[in-house]
Amino acid sequence: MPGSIATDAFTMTPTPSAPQSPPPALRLSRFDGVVAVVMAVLLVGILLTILMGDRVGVQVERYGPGDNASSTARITLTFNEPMDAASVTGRLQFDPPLEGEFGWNGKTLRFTPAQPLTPGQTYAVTLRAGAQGSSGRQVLEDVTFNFRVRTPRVAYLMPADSTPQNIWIATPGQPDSAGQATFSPTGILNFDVSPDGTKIAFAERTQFATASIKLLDLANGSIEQLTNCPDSDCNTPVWRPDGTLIAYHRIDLNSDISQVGASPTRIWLIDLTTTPASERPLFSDNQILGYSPQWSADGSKIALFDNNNRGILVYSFTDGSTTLVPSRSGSDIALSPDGTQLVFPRLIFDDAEGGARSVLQLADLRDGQVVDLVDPELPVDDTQPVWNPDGRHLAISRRYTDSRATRTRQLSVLDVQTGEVEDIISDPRYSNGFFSWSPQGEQLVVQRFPELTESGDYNSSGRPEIWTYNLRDSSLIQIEQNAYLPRWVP
Amino acid sequence: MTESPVGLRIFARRTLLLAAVLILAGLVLAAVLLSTDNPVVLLSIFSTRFLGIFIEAVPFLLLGTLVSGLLEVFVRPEDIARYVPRRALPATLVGTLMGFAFPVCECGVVPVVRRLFHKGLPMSVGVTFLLAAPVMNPIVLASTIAAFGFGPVLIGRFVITLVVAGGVGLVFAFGARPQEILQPQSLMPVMGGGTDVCPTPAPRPGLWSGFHQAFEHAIDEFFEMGRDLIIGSLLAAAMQTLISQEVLLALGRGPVVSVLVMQVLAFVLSVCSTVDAFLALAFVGTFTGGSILAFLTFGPMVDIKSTLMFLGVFKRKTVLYLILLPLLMTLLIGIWTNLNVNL
Repeated sequence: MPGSIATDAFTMTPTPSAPQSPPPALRLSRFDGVVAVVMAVLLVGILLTILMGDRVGVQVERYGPGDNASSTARITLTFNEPMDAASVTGRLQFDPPLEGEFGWNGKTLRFTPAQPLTPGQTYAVTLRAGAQGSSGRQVLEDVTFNFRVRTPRVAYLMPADSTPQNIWIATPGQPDSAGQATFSPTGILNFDVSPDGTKIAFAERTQFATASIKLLDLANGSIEQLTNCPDSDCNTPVWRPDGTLIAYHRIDLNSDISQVGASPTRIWLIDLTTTPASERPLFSDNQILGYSPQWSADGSKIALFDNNNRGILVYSFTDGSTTLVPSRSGSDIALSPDGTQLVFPRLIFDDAEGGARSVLQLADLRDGQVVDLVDPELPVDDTQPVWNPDGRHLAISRRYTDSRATRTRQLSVLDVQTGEVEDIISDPRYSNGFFSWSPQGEQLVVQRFPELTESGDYNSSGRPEIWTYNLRDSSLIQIEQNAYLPRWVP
Repeated sequence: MTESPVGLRIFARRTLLLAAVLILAGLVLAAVLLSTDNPVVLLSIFSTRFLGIFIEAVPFLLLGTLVSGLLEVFVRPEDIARYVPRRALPATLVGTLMGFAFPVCECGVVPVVRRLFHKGLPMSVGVTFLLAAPVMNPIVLASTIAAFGFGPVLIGRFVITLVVAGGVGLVFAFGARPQEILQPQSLMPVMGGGTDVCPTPAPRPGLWSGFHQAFEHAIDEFFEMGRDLIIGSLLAAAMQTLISQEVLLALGRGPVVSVLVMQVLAFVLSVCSTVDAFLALAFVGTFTGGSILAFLTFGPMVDIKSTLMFLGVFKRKTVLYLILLPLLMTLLIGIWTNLNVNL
């Protein structure tokens, strides 16, 4: 039996120190003593380590923004463990002071300033020691970082008179600052800049004569395919202000189905919160058509023209409700930053003149009331309303129809509360359009087309130009010639 | 007819595995049925997570068993024993690094150690090798780099393993006598007994027959350890599915409690050291850095399945020491790391 052989082997070959009989169960050997001492030392070491306390504390793993920050950037601090929210927000200081909203995403604190940050200003962010993690550990030392806010830049498409068009970016007031951002051989149709100014979504022509949407990272120049549109025309991306979604136009060509033509335009969404980005139609009901999407500033609503119902459809992401505002204009809608008001043109057919003009209307989405923004009897033709971020002023494209009439459209600012209008750009040679407000609401970037020459003749060689207008000092600066479709890069 | 001790151990081990699987299945089923979530969704998540862990781990297990089979055949334990120093400190250091010659996880290290004891390897070196080899080998090095990259976790894992295994080995070097720590059947050859009157080294096999033997060893080892891997993956997937993130977060935040919890997890989950880095990766961000290191160092040294195998070689008291000493050492290092190092 193996067991007995082993026992025999053991007892037959004892070492000098080996016991002749099994030791009593409770008797400790020298080895037991060594082990006991080592374990005692380890226990004391553990106790001392705990008593000496935390020398590291909760760490701020990352913070942002970095230098050269966008004026719409959010301030973020990422900790290495979940935090007690109140203990953090109570210890956070901004210099100069900022107002805004705090939000948490796991271990990351996000502060969204109520107003865009001031370009050229350096901000200091300090988290004072004592902020407490949910484990009870604390931030042991003050954490301070600074960032400087860059001047907003302008992106546009160029050249206007030949192909392929690509995206260029320039800094207003710096004539040599223009740089090419994309190098598409097929050309770019349109684009939109992300709210934080770090990315550009653009629609690029494909080799199949369709368009597909891609994403350009301005930090490193990398490009990511966002939509897969081999048999669809996907273009006109529009960012949601929180940067999580992009709305775009999609037309299915149905080229593989005989005797079926291209579909009408529908609005689809690209969800950037998934990896990789995913796409889906805005409405699961494919009978709802639409185009020209526009987001409210808080991203909770989207407005679009609904062809089927002949009106402007406002969809709420909060409760899934839709509101239809009847309209025959089919273009130029402006959803207020808070998403409660909608400005759109109303067509007036002037029998005496034999033509048509438009006046702007304001629809209150809360009570459904629609009012004219200006007296419809005034001799004006107003279009292209664009809300200032302050939610009170509108930039509009105006053409007078009385003795002040010009061939070209000029630029005015309308105070929605008082109804007062200030003409800010008035040069009969130029027609102004495709304008948008800077994040601070102090500047406008405008596409201007020189329709007339200096002598007032028709300008056959005119090309669109990009200009900025500063409301503070009324300065008008040309950014680029032979370019179009300008957008701010915050 | 009387069963041999080896046969009894295999029977006991298989019974234990079967019982573990049945208990696990029962617990999962009960938890799923008692949960307020949709059982179908829970089962779907569970199976996805199980497959994720298992498929990620299997290549490393396969590679490990192949290398182990080749070494088993072509490198004789006598060769290793011949080059091991007799003095405690250098011998212990050699013991910590021997895993690079015998790349086995904790499942395979126990028979290797027993074989090395048979060939006269000093106790302290064997114990050091026993504790260090599951981490200090090229397979685990590769899997840890794959999971965490070259950084503090990789360095910490190897340095802590070296310190703890070496430390325990030195404890055994001072005062541990073979007859005091080994089971009689393991002790017999060490003390000069055994059935061979004059044991001679086995001849080296030829190349092709050696490969054949190596693959046979690898296949046997793969299926043997594969069972453990499946059970470990099932347990890990069940815990990830059934224990809410909130509970884990609550346990994983404290600098002391998190280390203890991860040590218990490492012991209970018994995931093979060749793949445990991928499992630990899932805890990063939830648990403290020190507790992750404790998981990656204590688990390979001591877990449920290796403890059962220790009992076949060492006396019960020794097995208790082999659990408590690494436990306290990794606990101390884990807590100290949490409180003093910014990982």
